[in-house]
Amino acid sequence: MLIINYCQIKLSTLKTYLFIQYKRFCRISFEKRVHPLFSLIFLIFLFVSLSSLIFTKVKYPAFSYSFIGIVLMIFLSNSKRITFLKHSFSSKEFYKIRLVENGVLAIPFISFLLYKGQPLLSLFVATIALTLVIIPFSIKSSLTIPTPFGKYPFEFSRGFRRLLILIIVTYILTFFAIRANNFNLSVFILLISFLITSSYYTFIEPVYYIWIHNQNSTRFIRKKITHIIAFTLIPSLPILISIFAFFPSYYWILILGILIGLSYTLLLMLVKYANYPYDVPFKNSVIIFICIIFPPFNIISIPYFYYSSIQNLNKILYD
Amino acid sequence: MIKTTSLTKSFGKNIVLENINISFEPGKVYGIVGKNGAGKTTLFNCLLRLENHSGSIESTLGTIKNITGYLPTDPYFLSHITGKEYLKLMSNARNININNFKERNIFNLPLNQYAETYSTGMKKKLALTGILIQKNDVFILDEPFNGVDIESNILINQIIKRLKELNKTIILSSHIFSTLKDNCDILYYLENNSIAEGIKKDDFHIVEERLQGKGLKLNELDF
Repeated sequence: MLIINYCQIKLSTLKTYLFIQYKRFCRISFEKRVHPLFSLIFLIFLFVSLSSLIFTKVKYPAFSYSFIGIVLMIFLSNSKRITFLKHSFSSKEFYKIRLVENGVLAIPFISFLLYKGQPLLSLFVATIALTLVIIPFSIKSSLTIPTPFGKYPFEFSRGFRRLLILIIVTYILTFFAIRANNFNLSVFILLISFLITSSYYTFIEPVYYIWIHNQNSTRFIRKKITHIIAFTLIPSLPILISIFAFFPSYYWILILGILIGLSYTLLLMLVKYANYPYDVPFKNSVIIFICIIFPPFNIISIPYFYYSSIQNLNKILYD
Repeated sequence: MIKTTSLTKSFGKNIVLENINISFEPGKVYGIVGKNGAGKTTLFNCLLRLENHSGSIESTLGTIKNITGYLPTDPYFLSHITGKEYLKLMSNARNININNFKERNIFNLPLNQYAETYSTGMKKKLALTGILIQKNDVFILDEPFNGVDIESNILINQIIKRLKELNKTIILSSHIFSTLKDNCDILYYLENNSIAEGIKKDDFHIVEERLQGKGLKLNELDF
């Protein structure tokens, strides 16, 4: 790969910033032992596959799709990042950078919406992208959101508070799905809510937060499993109860959904600790992807990652 | 007692600690001194087995990880976690059940607020409270006085004295020499990657003079 020493070349601020982002992408990709070109191809493939999946499986695909794009842009305009950019660059450069960033994220969504014959929604996404450049969306409150998980920090309390908006959105979508008498859609939303819960375990905590435990790795992992079994259902409970109330005859599908949801969370927790303190490598990301699409694979993958996580944590949780 | 024998640590070809032979006894306060980058934090990480090293560390008190409270220089707090939840996490980690955190809140911290919103000094106090509630036998305090107000500085001094009375082993580092003078029984001076020997209270002034160095000729600098 062509390595350019950007320090020796006089570049504009925007170009320098983008070049640093490009280098970060390459470094992260190399850390995952994948060539950046393949990472890029994989990301494009993933984007097109998921986009197509939404347009074939979801009832209001264009709206849901636009919503996902907007949520991603909101995440990109988080206040800490925006403050850093504002402090580091002049106003002119700041707006240029934000325009390019939101553009890079919005263009694939806009293009796909246009391809699916949704010019109005694509215009809407573009407008939101532009608006977020000028008025960054930031929810910063000193209000402490109460959670039922306070006795056993930290994943559930932290995750619940961080992703509360998404959780509320799944509740709203469930309401519409039930109103439309669409059982399949409501189960799909249930699985999405389980995926949101699973994502609580994607955060890699500093080693200190593991080292403080006076237990060996087996007990540590088993404790995490107990927490997952006890708490995974709680954020999804309103959805579960609503579906059961309106489609009681399909209770067995709900039980299956619960088992799948639990397996997602267990899998993500175990994969994290199997690779700790490093990011999940590409190979394991593919395994996660396959297990999410085809949950029966979890019967093999969960025991495998259970033993690897215990083995891996032995170096920190020695006795 | 905790004893290191020929403890050596290097990062690649760069040797940070070389042949360290020191010991720590219960009921005593030890100070690790050295200039910035001398390897104090690396030494702590080795003691805690957070870093691989050569040489050995023996402990007659039990597995060091399970009996030690470590206060890092710059404690890291997870986002969206309240002070109380952090303390709960710390007590859960040692299977200690605490119901009333108000009694343990010696620094009067706003425990229902997110810890990430705390000031530097408040974060340090919360981290210190966290290791105190764990009822550890050994305390490793990396720069405990950094960023905290005068009142809390006095309180930390009192805490160290109380821990000493309780026969705990206390190891601390600080760039404020007066705090070391006040609290420590023995100083280990980390210089050129090694520690010659423990320095007793009467000889602390020698370390202080060596730490002061030659200073900079600022009139030759152009800012």
